[in-house]
This record gives sequence, C-alpha cells and structure tokens, in this order.
Amino acid sequence: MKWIPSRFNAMAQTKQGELILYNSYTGAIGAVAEGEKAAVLKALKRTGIDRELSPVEQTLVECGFLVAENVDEKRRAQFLHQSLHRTDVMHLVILPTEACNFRCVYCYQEFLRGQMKREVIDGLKRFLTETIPRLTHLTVSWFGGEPLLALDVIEEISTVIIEQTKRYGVTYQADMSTNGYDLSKETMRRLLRCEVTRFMVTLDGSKDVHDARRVLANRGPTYETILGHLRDIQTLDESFEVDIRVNFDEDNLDRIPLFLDELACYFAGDRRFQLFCRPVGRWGGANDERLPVCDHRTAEVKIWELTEYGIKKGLSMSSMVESMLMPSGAVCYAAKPHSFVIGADGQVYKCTCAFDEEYNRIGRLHADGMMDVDMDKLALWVTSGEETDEQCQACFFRPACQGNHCPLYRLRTGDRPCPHEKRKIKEVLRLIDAQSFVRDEGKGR
Amino acid sequence: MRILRPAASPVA
Repeated sequence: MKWIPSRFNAMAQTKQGELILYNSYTGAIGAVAEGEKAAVLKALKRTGIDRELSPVEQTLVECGFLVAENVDEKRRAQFLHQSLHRTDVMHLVILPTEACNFRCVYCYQEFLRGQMKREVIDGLKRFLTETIPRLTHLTVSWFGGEPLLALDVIEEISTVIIEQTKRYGVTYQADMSTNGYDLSKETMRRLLRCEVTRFMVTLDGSKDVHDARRVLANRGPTYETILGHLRDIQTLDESFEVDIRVNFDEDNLDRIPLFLDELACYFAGDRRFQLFCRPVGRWGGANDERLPVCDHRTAEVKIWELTEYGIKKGLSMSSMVESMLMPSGAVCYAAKPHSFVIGADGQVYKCTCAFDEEYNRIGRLHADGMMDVDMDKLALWVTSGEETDEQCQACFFRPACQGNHCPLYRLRTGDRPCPHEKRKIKEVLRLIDAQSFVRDEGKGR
Repeated sequence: MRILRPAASPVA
C-alpha cells in the first residue's frame, strides 16, 4: 500500500513555528509541534510512502492528510456533492414579517410586505404537518424584515414544528437573524422555548458609530437598547449562541478595535457570544452608490485582522467560521434542492438576498399546504456549482464549498464565489489554533 | 500532533 498526500490538504505556519494541517474532505485540523515538523513535512511529500507507517504517519492517515494511492479523491468529492440532494433533510427560511423597525444605511430590503397573512400561516402549518413525517432533520431560520415584530407568528408555527418533530423523531434546530432591538430577556426565554438557539445580532461599532448606521425607522438610536439586551441575556444559564456581527467599511474600520475592547469588557470568556466580522457590500439598497465599501483586498485582510484582535482580547470567533471548513460546510442553503425561503405573502424563493429577481421567485405556498415550485427556476440554483466549473473541481476547498458558496454571485457575475475562509485559509487556521490556545489556558465558560 | 478537530465521515 502506498500513501500519498490528499489533494484537499492546506497548511499554515504559526509565529511560534507550529505547523497547522487541514483537510477539507474530513474537516480534520491538526497542530504539529516543532519537534515533529520535519517528519510530517517529509511524510507529506508527493513522492509518497510505501513502507510501514510510523505512529505520526498513522495519525496523518486517520485525519485524511495521507490517502491510499488508489483512492479517487475527485470521485469522493463528487459523491459528497450528490449527497446534498437528499430529500429527507429540509431547511426553511421563514419570514414571519417583512416589515422592519430599522432603516440601516446599507440594507437591501424594501419592506413592501408586512406581517405573514393568516392564510399563509395556515398553509405553512399544513405544509409542515404533511412534510415533517418524511424528514430525518429540519432546520428553520427565522428571518425578515425583523422577525421579532411577529413573535406571535413564530410561536404559533414553532408549536406545530416542535410537536411534529418530536412525534416523528425528527431532529430540529432553529436560528434567527434579528436586529436585537426587541431581544429582551423575556423574549429570549420565549424563543428558547421555541427551540431557537442561535442568533445573529449586528453591532457596527461603539454607540456613536453604530447609531449613525443602524437606526430606527424614525432615525432614533439603537445601540444602548441592543447592548442592554445582550447583557441581560448573558445572565441566563441556558446554552445558546449569539453571533455579534460587525459590518465594516471605510467609515468605521479604524474605530472597530476600540469597539472590540468595549465588547471584551462584557463578553470576553463567555463563549456563547461570538465575533463575526464581514465587509459591507453594495447589496442592492437605495444607498448603494454612496456606501464607502472597502476594496476587496482590504476587506479580505481586515476580516481576519479584526477577528484576531478580538481573540486576543478574549472574545470567541464565530463558530460559523470553523463550520465553514467542514465538508459541505460552506455550501449555501440556496444551492440545496430541499431548501426554501417562505415569504410573508406565501411567495417561495431560493435566496434571501434577491427578493426582486424573477428567477428567485420559484413558487408559492397555498392555504391548503401545497407548494407549487417552478422546477426550471429551481434547477438554476442547484446545478450551477462545481459541476460546471473545472477550477472548482481542482480546488483544495472543493469538499467544503462545492462551488456553491453563493449561487447568486455566480448567477449575477459569472464569477467563482469563493468564500472568505478559503481565500485566507492560512490566517483562518492560525486563528483556530490561537483560539484553542486561549481556551487551553482555562479561560472561557 | 495535537488534534484540534478530528476527522469526520463527510457523506454521513
């Protein structure tokens, strides 16, 4: 048996001279100390190994960094990609309202439709009642608009989901993207009872910075209310995760480190609160041309510089970053055949970032629970990944994203939608290692 | 080698 390095490996060196290894097909990540480094680098040479393996080489095999020479790795990736097309796993993004109490400067939504209509709520409950018995797993993402303006709708639909998933032994997980303005401790308790355990809340800087960008519809400030809620929620004993998303551009970039100092005062060491930095984009809103977005190169660097700063201050990096490195972990929900966005008026979409695109309006949910879907439009979203792109097929990151990190970007531009994590894989691996060190030192909940 | 994250069964 001859062993050769996997085509899905990536490698980084830390400042301390450690070697970090990663394989995107198994998701394994390993740190090699100075003393073992020479042996590992030798084992990973393209010439391969055709003798008995040493203990460290055996570990490289177990992690997938070394594979048997006769393994067809491209076929492995192809099979993994096909497994996305299972119909017993479903992801629904539900918009209980499309209204919002905020008017953020970079928002791309138009808030034309308000709260979910009664016939849509009833139709969705019927659809779920009929569909859940055929599933093994259901993920629901509550989105909007601002979903907390329709908490009663969330509770009504969640009651059906929880009852049905329990009855049929279906695993269930739910997350929510909220501006956080109404996320009081009592509301949080109600959401946890609805089994919503992961939240994304955006803070774009300290008070003066945030309050110039993320304002109420009447232009009022929002920072102190949101931060107050997060600190209240922190006193709960339950387990949950809150991604604190920080959207940066040329306007607020320089002031984010000061903000992270402030965040660290409250949340350092509490792993439930996690940092997620992303560049502001021209996402389709009315202010697009006036937004001081960073150029791509600056954005790619700053995402990880700011994250590193946060980790050094004791904040946790969003677990979404690490999960993006798992096999299929960076595939967008819009690229999966069994994933749908349910609008407040019953319109069915694939993508949450392009509600006005005709090719994104793929169907309708009716009051009797039937969902009409235009299969040609659906096919557009679920067949435009690695299968049509030779560069994706040859990429080390293929098992993680499958050319499908953002089908919308590919449809609009024709370009490859590589995830930020892939573009700066060495920095990401160093940050994962750095975070593991912080935790090994006994900090953290 | 320190394993930060073990190998998964990708398709499963």
